[in-house]
Amino acid sequence: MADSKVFLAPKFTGKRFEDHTLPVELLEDFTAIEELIFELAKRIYLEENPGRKRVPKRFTEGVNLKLSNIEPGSTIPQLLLISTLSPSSLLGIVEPDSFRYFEKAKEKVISVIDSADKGNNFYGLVEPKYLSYFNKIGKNLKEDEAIFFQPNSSSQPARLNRSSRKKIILASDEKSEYKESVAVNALVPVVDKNTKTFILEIEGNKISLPIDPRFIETIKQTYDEYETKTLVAVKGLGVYNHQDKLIKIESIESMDILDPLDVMVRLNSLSKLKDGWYNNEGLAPNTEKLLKFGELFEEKYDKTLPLPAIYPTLDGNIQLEWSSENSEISLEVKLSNYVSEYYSTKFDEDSFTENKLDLNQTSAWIDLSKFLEKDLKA
Amino acid sequence: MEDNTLLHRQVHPTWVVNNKISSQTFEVESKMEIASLTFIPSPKDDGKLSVYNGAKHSAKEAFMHYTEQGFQSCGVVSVLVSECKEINLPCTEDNHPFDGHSYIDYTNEPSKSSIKNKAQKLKKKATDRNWSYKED
Repeated sequence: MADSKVFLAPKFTGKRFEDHTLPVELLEDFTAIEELIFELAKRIYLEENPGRKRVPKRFTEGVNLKLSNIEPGSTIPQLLLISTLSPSSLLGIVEPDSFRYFEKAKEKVISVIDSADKGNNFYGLVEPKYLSYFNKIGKNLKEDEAIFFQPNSSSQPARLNRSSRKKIILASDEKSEYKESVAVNALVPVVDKNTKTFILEIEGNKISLPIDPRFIETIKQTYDEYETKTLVAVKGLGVYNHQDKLIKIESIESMDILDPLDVMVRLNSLSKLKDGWYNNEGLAPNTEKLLKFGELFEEKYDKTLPLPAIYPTLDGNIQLEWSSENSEISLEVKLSNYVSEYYSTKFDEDSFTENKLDLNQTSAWIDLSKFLEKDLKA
Repeated sequence: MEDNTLLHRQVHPTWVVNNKISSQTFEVESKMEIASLTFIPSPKDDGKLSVYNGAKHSAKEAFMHYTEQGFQSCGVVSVLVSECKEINLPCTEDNHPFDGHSYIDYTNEPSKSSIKNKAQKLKKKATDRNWSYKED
């Protein structure tokens, strides 16, 4: 189909889209975009035709936004506006007169997003009730992600990210709260069989939820292991107040009990250390370097091997440790360059080995696997 | 100090990953995980790793004495004087800054590697013995 028939071609940016695919969870966003544009188009029609009390009968009937394809080389889904009822076009493209209202609605949406992103005033561009559609649009965007609704426009790219989306929602009728995808690690301190509810404790913040039968075993186990601080990773749709505090979890998609040695959880926890953490000694590890190491570990570490316990060192680095009946192993990682020192003591042979590993190199991770396999073997 | 005297070492909370749980079997293994760093002197220790003489302080007393001074500890692990001697680490009671203060002497260690090796050996001895005292 010709380019001119593409109604909207938003560009998705962020790490998740680097492979030029679109996660299915984002497809819901398109439904919400369609609903918003259709409702706005009706409103514009009525404003421009004050003599009419309602829109023509077939104004949106049979009209759909359809996902055509994703442009090669980037994550840009093409959305076509198609009418299955229109007799005026063999291709089924919406007839020009109606199309005008959908175009105008789209332009308003783009203006709102662009103004919100640039910190400009967007009050009055559309009525506040339409802004609440953004509770659905972009709700699964992660911190590093954005949707550019006009990626080819330098003056009005209309970037929707977590920040611009939040501004829009807080300006809507539901201004006291907004919804966003949530991924948290939580404890379960309370399960109430009478009310069929349980509590998620997230860094001291407690949220009550109904017990979902799908996750009953997970909830029970996490509750049973509350004393040993077993964490459950919860993903779902969260409701936040205007101070960005999670106040409710509207729905849960998944609940998975975390390994007590979960590397990202541990590194996140170590990132909160401050200088002087060890009885007034001890430099705090660099947060950015810690989290980058976590990504490197997730990508390169052999998943068949046991996870290490991770500890901060007094000089602001970290040490990974593995223990078995017969060996003690430590890997001291310099966070400035990820060059590390491997030390292994085997008790049955009374042997000690040391090696330098540059963890920037994939070959070093392969060597690490070999060393661990050999040294952890009983 | 006698060979069979226990030397108590405080464990900092960030150097513990407690109660390893196998989520696959749903069984609690209660395996303690502490850092071998616990047995490495810090720069200001000047090669002398501070411990409490177990003949004068129980593990709980050592914990109370340490934390009452405002220092952080989540429990006490212990090694025997003989276990230190076996790996050529002398132990001395200097009673400074308090009665029963002692140290494991790393000052003659020739390299970082040998300190790491000996810390790993002491960690193994201590963890095999489990906590001498653990805060609730």
